[in-house]
Amino acid sequence: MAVTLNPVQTYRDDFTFRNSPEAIRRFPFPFDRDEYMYSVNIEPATPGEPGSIYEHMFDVDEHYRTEMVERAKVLEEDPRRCLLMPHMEQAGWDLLELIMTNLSHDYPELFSLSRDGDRWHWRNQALDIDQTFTFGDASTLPQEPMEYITRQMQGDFCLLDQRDGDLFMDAGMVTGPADWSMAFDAGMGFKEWHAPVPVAHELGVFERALSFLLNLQIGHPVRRLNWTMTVNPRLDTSPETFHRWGYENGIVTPENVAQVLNLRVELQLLARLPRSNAIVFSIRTYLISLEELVTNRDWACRLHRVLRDLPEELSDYKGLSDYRQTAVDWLAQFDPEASASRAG
Amino acid sequence: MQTLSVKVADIRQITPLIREFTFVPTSGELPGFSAGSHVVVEVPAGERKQRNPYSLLSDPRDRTQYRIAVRRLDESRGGSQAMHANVDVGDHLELASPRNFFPLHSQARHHVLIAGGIGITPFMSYVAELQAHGASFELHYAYRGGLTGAFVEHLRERLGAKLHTYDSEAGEKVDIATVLREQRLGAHLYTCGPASLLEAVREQASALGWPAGRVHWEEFAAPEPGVPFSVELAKSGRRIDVPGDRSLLETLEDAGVDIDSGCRGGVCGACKTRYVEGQVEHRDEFLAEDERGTYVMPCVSRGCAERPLLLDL
Amino acid sequence: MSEASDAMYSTPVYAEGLPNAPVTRRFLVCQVPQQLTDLRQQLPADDLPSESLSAAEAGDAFEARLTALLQEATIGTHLYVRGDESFLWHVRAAAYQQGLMDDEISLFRTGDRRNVYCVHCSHMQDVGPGDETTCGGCGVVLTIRTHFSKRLGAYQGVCLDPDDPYGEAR
Repeated sequence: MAVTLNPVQTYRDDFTFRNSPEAIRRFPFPFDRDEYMYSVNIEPATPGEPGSIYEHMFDVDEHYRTEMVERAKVLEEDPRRCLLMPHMEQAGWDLLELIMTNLSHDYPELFSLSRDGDRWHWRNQALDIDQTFTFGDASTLPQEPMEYITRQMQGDFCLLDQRDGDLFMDAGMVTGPADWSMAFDAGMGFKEWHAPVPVAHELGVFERALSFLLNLQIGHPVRRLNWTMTVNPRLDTSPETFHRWGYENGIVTPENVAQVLNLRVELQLLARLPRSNAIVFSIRTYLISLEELVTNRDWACRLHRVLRDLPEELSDYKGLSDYRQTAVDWLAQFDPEASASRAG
Repeated sequence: MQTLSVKVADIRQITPLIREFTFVPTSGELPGFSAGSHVVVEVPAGERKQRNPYSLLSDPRDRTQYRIAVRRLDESRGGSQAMHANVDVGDHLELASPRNFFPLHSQARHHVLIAGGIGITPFMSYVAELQAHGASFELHYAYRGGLTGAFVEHLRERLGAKLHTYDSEAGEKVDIATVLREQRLGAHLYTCGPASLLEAVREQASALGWPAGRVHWEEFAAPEPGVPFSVELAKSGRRIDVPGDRSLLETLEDAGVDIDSGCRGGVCGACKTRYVEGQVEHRDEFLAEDERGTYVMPCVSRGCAERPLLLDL
Repeated sequence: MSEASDAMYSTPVYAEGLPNAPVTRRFLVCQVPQQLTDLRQQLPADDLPSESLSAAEAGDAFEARLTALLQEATIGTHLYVRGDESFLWHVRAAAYQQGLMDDEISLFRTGDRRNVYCVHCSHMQDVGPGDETTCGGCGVVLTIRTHFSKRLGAYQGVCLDPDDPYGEAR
C-alpha cells in the first residue's frame, strides 16, 4: 500500500500534529492486558500485516515530512543531538546501506537506489533529494553517513559498539527522546545508560537483555514496544530542553486532558550490522492524543485500567504523576466496570 | 535456521594438510561480515550433516565470495575429513550467516596477533581490515614448514616487517614473553591456534600484568568425544540417545529439535539450555560457576551414562 | 537524600582495597603530596618500579608530565589515583586517552568536590556537597542526579523545577 504523506505539521509551538483515521487504525497500542509491568518483551522483527507498522523493517508513515523538518530544527538549535565517535564510521555506513536498501525496496514510489559497484545513486522524492556518492567515502556526502541517512528516516537511531562483553552507545542521532540525553549517555555501556530505569535492574531485566543482544545475528532483527505519555504532541521531550517544556506537565486539566495528553509509544528495533559487528538500536516514536485514542473503545478501557493500576515508582519514572489522576478520571467513562461502580 | 546457499567455486590444496575453499553465492551478493567472523558450514558426511565453524579468510569488503581454509585432522570425526573427501568444485553447500566471536577491539591502539598453524585463518580477514584502515599491528605466525604454513608467502608479500614467522621445522619458536613485554599501553592481544599455544599466551600475558580485557583468543575446539548418554525433553517427553562420537547439540539438531547455536565451541552461549535433572560434564568456557547447576552448553558438554539428562526443551 | 539510596548502576564506585591482578609497575598520581604518602602506605612493600606525581607540586606542568609518563609506559603498569572526584575523573580521562582500561586504574576518593554537567547548555562545573546548584553557564537551577558519565567525568545536572527554571520565584 502506498503511503500518503501529510503536508508539514508541527511537534512544537502551535502543535498542529494530528493523526488521520488511518494512522489511528495502525497505531501500536502497547498493552495486551489490563496491567503493565516492565519486561524485556523482545520478539523477532518479522514482517507484519500489510498496512501495519510492522509491514516493513522501517515504517514510513504520513508524518514523514513533519518529523524530518522537526529533526532539522532540533539539530540546528542543538548539534549535540547527533554524535559519532570515530570508530563508529563503519557502523554508519552499515546503517546507511540498511536504510537505503530497505526503503527503496519497500517504498519504491518515494525512494530509489541504484548501485554500480561503489558508485551509488540515491533518490528521496519525499524530501526532493538526489544524491550520487561513493559508498565508503564520507567526503562524497553532505554529512557523515549516519547523520546523512538519519536526516531522512523517522525515529531516533543509536549505534552500539560491541566489546568487553557489553554494548557501548558510541554514536547516535537522538532528536526525539523520551527524557534521555544522547550527549550525556554517549560512551556508556548497556546497563549504565539504562541506570535511571527503576525496578528493572533488580529484576535482572537488563542482564538478560544484554546477553541476548550480544548474540544477535545478522538478518535476525528483534523489536519491542515501550511507552510513556507526553503533554502536547511534542516529539523532542529531551532533558536538554526540559527547562522549556517541563512546565507543560502541570497544564493538564479535566477540560483539556483529552486534547493535550498523548500516549507515546516507541517501536524499538535492534539489528546486527554486518561489516562493523555493531548493533543499530532504532527508536521510532508514535504519538496519539487521548481524544484520538478513545475512538477505539477497547483501547480506552484498557488504558484506563493500566494507568489506574500503574505502580507509583513507574509512574514517577515515566513522569506521569502530575496528570495521571486527571487522565484516569477522564478515561473511567470508557471502562464499563468503573462507570458501573460509580453509578452504583 | 536461515542459511545461505553457496556454490564451491574453487578448491586449492595449499599444503599437504590444508585446503582452501572458495564459495560464491548461488544468487545475489553474500552478506558483508566483520573481521574475525566465521561461518558454520553444513558438510555432508554420510547420511548425516556435520556442522563445522570455519573462519572467513577473505577480505570483508568483498561480497562476491567467501573463502575458508580447512586443515585435515586424522582424528577428525568427519567434519574436516568430509570437507576434504566429499566436497568438490561445483557442489552446493548451505552456510549459516557469518557471526563474530573474535572481533577486533575498537579501542585498541595497536594490535598484536599471535597465530599457530591453521589458527592463522581469522587473522587473514584481520589483516585485510587493519591494512584498509592503516591501523598499527604486528603478526606472529608459528607453523610447521611445508605442512601448516598455509599463507606465509602471501602474508610476507603484503606485510613486510609487520610479519614475524616461526617455523618449527627450522627450530624456530615464538618467544611470547619478548613479544608481550615491551607493548605500550593501549595494545590488545589476539591469539588463535592449538590449545597449548593459547594457554601459553594467556599465562604469559597474565604474568606480565596484562588485564584479561586486553587478551582475546579463539580456539577451534571440535567437541571431544565421550561416553554415550541419553537425554529426555521435558516438554515433549521425547527420549534421544547421544552417541559417544556426536555432541549433544548435533544429536538434537539431527533429531529436528529447534535450538540456536553460535560458536559450537563452548564460548558464545548461544545454545545455552536449561536442564532440570541429571548430571552434566561441563566442558564450556561460557557458564558461570553458579549457572552450572541449571544450564548446559550442548555444543561441548555432555551428560553421564548412568541416568538420562532431563532438558527443559 | 542519602547518596547510597539513590545510587544507580552508573554511579561510580571507588576503590577501597588494591587490585588482585599482577602488575609490573606502578604510577601513583595525587592531588596533594600528602596523599602520595597515604597511597604508599596502602601499597605492599615490594621493589616494583614506581613513579609518582602530585598535581599540587607539578603545577602547570601536571598535564604534560602525566601524559609523558603514560606515553612511555608499557602494559603491566597500574595507575593509582587519589583525590576528589573532579580530580580522579580528570586523570582517568587523560589515562583513557593514552589507552588505559578501567582494570588498569584504581581511583581512591577523598574530599567531596565533583563535576556536574549541565544537560541544558553543556557547561561543566566543579561543586561541593549538596544536590543542587545553579548552572554557571545558563543560570538554570539544577538538581544533581546520581546518573554519572565516565566519558564526561561528571554527574548529570538537570532543571530542578521547570515551573521556575531560573529560581526567580524562590
